Amino acid sequence: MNKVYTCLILLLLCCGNMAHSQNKGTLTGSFESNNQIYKNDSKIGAVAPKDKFGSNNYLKLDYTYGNFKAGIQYEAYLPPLLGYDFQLEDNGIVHRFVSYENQDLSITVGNFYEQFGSGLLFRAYEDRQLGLNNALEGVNVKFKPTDYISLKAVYGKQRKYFDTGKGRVRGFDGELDVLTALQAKTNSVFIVGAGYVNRYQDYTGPVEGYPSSVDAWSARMDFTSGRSALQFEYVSKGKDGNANTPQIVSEGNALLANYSYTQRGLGFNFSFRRLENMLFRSEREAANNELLINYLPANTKQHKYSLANIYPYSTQAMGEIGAQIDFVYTFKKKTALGGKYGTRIAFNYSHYNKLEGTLVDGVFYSDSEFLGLDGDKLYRDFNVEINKKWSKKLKSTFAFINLEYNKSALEGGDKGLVKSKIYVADFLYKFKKGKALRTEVQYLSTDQDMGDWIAGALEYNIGSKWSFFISDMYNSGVSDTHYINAGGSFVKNSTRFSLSYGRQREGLLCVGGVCRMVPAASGLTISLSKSF
Amino acid sequence: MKKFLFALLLLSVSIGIQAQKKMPEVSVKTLDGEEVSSVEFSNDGKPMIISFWATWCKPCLNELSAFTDEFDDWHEETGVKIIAISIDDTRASARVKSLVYGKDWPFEVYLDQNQDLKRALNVVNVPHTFVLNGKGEIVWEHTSYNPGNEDEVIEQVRQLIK
Repeated sequence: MNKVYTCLILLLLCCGNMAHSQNKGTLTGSFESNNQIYKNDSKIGAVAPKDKFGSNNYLKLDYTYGNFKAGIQYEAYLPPLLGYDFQLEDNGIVHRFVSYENQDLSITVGNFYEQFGSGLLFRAYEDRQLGLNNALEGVNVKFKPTDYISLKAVYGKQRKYFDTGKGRVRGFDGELDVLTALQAKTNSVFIVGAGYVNRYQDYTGPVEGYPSSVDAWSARMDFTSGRSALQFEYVSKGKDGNANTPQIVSEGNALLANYSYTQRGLGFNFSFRRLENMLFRSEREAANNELLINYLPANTKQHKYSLANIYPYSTQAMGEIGAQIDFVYTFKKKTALGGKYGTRIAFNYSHYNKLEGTLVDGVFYSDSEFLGLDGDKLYRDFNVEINKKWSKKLKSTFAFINLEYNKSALEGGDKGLVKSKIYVADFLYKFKKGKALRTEVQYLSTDQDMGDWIAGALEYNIGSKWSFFISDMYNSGVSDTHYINAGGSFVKNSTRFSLSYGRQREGLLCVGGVCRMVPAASGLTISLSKSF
Repeated sequence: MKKFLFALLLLSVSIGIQAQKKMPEVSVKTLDGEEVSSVEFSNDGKPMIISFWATWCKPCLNELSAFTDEFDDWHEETGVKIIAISIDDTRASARVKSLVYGKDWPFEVYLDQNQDLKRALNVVNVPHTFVLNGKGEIVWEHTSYNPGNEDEVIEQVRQLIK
C-alpha cells in the first residue's frame, strides 16, 4: 500500500517537474531540524544518552498542479531528542497524500489532518513540540452542496510513530449555516452542527460484553448577534476500554458552553466545560499521547512567561469540571489611564475541580450531580496583565499571576496543593538603527514544592536578522540551582538558524493542555528551519 | 528508499527555487464562526500583509502591537490591509476574540484552528509574515520578529505601490 502511494506521488512530482517548464505547477515545502548535543550534568540530574546526541528532522513537500495536490513528509529521528518517545527512532516518509480539490469538493487519499467542530469529538493533528501526530491514513471527503451546508467524512487508521494503530476510525460531520439557508436579512450568525465517530478494534479477551466498537456523537451550535455570542457543544461517548484497566469503562460525555461579549476596546468571555470518561483512543492499549481521537485542551490560559509554566494545567479527561473568565480592555489614547498611546489591561480567571466520584479497579464512577463542584480542587489561576507604551522607544508589560496547582493529583507524588504568586516585568527599548533590547524579570514565590524561583532574560536584536539572548532561571527555594542559557539566532526571510547552550529544567511541557514530560538536559542546541 | 529521497530532494531544489508561492485555497473561520476561503482574501488590488500568530506567542503579540501602532500611517500612505491569522487551536479560540476586540486591533482576524492554512503555506513557526501584491501573489515572507522588523515589512509594501 505504501509503495503504491510512493509511486503515485513520485509520478505526480515527475509530471510536475515537466509541467513546471510550462509554469503550470508549483512545489512548496518546509524543512525543520532540531539537534542537541548532550552532556552529563549531575547538578540538575541530566544524564546524556549513550551517543550524546539527538536530532529531529522534518522535510515537507507539497506539489500543486491545477486542482490536484500531492505531498509527503519525511521525518528522521537520529535518534530522537530526549523526552520524545524512543519508538520514534527511525526515519522515512511517514506522511503522504494525493488530493483533488475544487470549490465544492475535496477528496484526499493517504494521510490527512481533520477536525470536527471544536475537536471535542475528533481532531487529527500534528504538534512537533509534543512529538504528537495522529493523522489518519485513509480517505477524507469534504463536500459543500450549497454555500450554507458543509459535510465531511473520514475513514482510516491513525498514525502511531512510524506505524498505524490497530483500530479503525470512521466519522461524519455536518454543519448548517441556518440564517444563510433561510436567506434572513441579518448580520447575526447561527450555525448548527453534528458529528459521529466510530472506532472499531477487535477484542478477544474474557470480559463479557466488552465493546470492540465504540460510538461517539456530538451536537453543537454557535450563535452570534450584535455584540454577544453563544456557543454550546455536547459530546456523548459509548462504553470503551483502555490500557489502565481490564474492566469496561462507562459511557462518557462532555459539555462545553461559551459566552462572549465584544465591542471596540473591550472583550469578555466566559467558558464552562465538564468532562467525564472522555479519554478516546483508536487503540485501547495506547498510552501517553498516542492515538488520541478527540482533542481536550485545557480550558485555562496558556502563559507566555517561563515561571508561570512551571505549573501548567493538564486536562483531566476522565473527570473535571470548571470554568474560565477572560476580560481585555483598552484605556483609550489621551485619557487619564490611557496616556498618550493607550493602555491595555487583561484579566483572566480559571478554576478546575475533579469530578466527585470513586475509582474502582481503574474505572471512574461519578457520584456527583451533573453540575456538582464537590471534587478536589485541581487548578486555580487568577492573572492580570498590563501593556503600556511610554514613548516611541519604550514599551512595557507587567503581569501578576496567582496559581494554585494540585501537584499530587496532576503529576503524582505528595506535594499537595502548590500555591504560588508570580510577578513579571518586561521592558522593550528601541535604540536607533533597528537595535532593540528586551529585558524580563520574573519572580515566583511559594512555600510548597521547590520554593521560590527568580528568572531573568536579556535579548538584544540587531536589525531583523540577528538576535542574541542570555537567560537564567534560579531556584532559590530548595535546590539552589541556576538554569543559565545563552544563544543567538540569524533570520533571513523564511530561513532561521539558531544556536544555544545551557540547561533545561525537568518538567511538563504542555501545548494546548496536552503535555509531555521533558527530562533535565544540558548541552548545545542547534536548529534550522526554512520554508519555501 | 534513500535514492528515492535523494531524487525528491533534487526535484525540490530544481523546482522549489523558481516557484512563486500563491495563496492556497483553504477554509478558515471568522471570529463569528463562519467559514471563509483563503482565496477570498482581498484588498481591492492593493497590497496585503498576512501575519500568522498565536495568543501564547510573545514575539507575535509584539509584532501585532507594533503593526497596530503604525497602522493608521501605513494605511493612509499605501492603502495596505493587515490580516492576522491565529493558529490557536480551540483551546484559545474564544480568547482570541476577546483579545482582538479588547486590544482594538485594526486587522482582519481569522482562525486557523487545525493549522490547515499554516501547513498549506509551509509556515514552520510563528510569527511568520507574508506580503502580498495587489494580485494576491506572495512577494515576500519573513519568519520570527525582532523589534523594528515592521519597518522592513512596510518597505516591502511601499515597493509594490511604486
